Amino acid sequence: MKKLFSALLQFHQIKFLPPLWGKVRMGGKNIELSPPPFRHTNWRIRLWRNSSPIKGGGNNWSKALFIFLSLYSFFISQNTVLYGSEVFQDTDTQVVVREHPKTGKPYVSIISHSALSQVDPFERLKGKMSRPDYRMLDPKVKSGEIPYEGPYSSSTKIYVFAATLATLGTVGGAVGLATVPAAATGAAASGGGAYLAGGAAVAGGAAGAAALATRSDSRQDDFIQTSKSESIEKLNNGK
Amino acid sequence: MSILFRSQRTYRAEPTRSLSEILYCLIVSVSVLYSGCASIFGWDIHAPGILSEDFSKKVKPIPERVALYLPPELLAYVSHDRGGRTADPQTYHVGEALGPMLVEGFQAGFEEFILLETEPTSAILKRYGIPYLVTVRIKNFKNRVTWGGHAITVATEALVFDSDLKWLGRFESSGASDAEKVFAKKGGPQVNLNAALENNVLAIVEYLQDSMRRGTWTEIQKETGAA
Repeated sequence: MKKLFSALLQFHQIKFLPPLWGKVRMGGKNIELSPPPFRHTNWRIRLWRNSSPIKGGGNNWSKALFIFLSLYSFFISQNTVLYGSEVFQDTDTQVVVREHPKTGKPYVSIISHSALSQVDPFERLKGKMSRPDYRMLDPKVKSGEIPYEGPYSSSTKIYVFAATLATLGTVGGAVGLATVPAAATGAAASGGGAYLAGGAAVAGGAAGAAALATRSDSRQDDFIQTSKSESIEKLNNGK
Repeated sequence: MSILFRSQRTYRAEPTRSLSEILYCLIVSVSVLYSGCASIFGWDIHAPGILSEDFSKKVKPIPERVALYLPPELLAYVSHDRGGRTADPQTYHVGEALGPMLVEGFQAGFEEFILLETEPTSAILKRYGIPYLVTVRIKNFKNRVTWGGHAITVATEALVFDSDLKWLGRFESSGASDAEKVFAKKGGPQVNLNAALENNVLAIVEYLQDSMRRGTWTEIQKETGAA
């Protein structure tokens, strides 16, 4: 029905009516009508005078305008038929499907049309890896018992730096105080024999001082909860 | 004649040896100044940025359409909190891991998940029929390095809007992970950070699911304890 009506309308427009948008010549004057893309957009009629003198006076012009306005008011009510799918404001966005950088699972993303936003924000993070196993955080589990393939950092470079300074005659003890000397010793083992002497000296010297300065308080080390969400309104009301 | 003309041996100082030392010192100094102490003399911690298997066991998807908007400052969040006066310098790339983990968490928690990569407007939400918009920001990052352990706490604030961009609710979530002998293990601090972030994501998703099921946004308080 919608197609039939629009076809009849187009026929009627071509034969009997001026077009609803575009340039129209009525009453010796050129009129440009901008198309109504959306229901809530106002019509804009721009009128400018032709270079040639207007013929027929104002009567023809007023009649044409009256006919046009009456027909326009008739067709404007048909907007829901003509433009039934265009009731939303143009948002200048588009829908794309991206893949999660770590899992590869696809998801829907809404981006703007500008070129800058079409770059995946997680592009540089792409790299599938296995999921972490938090059992490795158990103090009873030794390093390497549970396989781990993710990123890691090594303190070997600390001892490289210490050895570098040592070769120039700088005091190696000024490199730094390790708060966790047990960890530093473990890392030194992986650093290689060339730097072990300097690294061990640093770790050994720092261990004694750090032990006195950072003795842990058992009352502060216990964490009971790991995950919590609380409404902020409730937090503010409780104060 | 041979006595009169002694052989002369010219001793020439080798400037290249001292010059090489000077050049070496200069290179080391410039590299230290340029990269900072934490790069050469510290821990640069990048978490894996992926949820563990436990997450999918705890969270099941609900039939809702939810959009997530991640502000640029969240993705760029970095913390240099050393956790103690005598600790080694540490750099935590928090936002770099939290972004993908939030996306994965929302994928697991909602059947129709949409990531908004552009600033949200009411027109966009209505055009795509999105009833809920969630935006998250990092409120706080706490690090504590002690003799025996390493504790990380990540606090975030989440705002929920409807399709008219009217505020529905606002809640704060925190995720923590406390473990011992972390720095002695390969990947220990990285996994510890990942655990704290995952707990935070878990709190956000569970809070949203509960609120959507009940239809209320202010009376719910979600708290999950450690095992």
